[in-house]
Amino acid sequence: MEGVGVFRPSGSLLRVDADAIVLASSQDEFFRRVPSAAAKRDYHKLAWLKAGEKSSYAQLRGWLPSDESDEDFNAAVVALR
Amino acid sequence: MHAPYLLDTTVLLHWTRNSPQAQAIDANFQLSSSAMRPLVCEVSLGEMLAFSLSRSWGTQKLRRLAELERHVVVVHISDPGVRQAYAELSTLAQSSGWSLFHGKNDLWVGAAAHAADAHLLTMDTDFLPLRGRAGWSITVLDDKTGLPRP
Repeated sequence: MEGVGVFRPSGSLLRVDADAIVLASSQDEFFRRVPSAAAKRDYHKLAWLKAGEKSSYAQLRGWLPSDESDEDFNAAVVALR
Repeated sequence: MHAPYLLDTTVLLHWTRNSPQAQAIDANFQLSSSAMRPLVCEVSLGEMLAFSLSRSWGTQKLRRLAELERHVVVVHISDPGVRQAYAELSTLAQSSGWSLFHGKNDLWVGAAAHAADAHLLTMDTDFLPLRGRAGWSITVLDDKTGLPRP
């Protein structure tokens, strides 16, 4: 079968929109196993907080406090780059 | 729906210290009231760990660093979309003669933001050539003030 494969978001094959049905050749060996698409992570969906969940930004602000001066800290951050 | 922010390593360091720069960033971007988690490139977690070793952080602070991951969405560089974006960004930076090409970690961070369709907040001026470019959403912040560079 020749055509276009349509995949689910999970990466599994949903259907094939067939253009032609012909005898298989050695070139079709690749399709002996059903191919799967790479699942795409939806980072926007992952980023949304659940209802009632505390703000991650608010929790992380000051998460790693330090006694060193701002000058020392700034110099160390610049040196990191 | 607005895009989530991906925080570059230096921005994450300032935020977690609640430095004066973090306060300026919050005033500009209202991150504290955001309904989204920050995105962070996996490479930045390594850079944070390197920073902690170089600053000889104590056990308690190292534990908190390890726990930080629970509050962010980590964009892994093994993500095929990130790898593709890295290849394209590296090629663009090299052919354009940008200094960004030499900062491989920066390329990964940029690629992670691009693949995740996120807005990159960075203090690295190597990203300036990408600002305003189609398909890219970037704010380069001044490292002394935390304010967006003009």
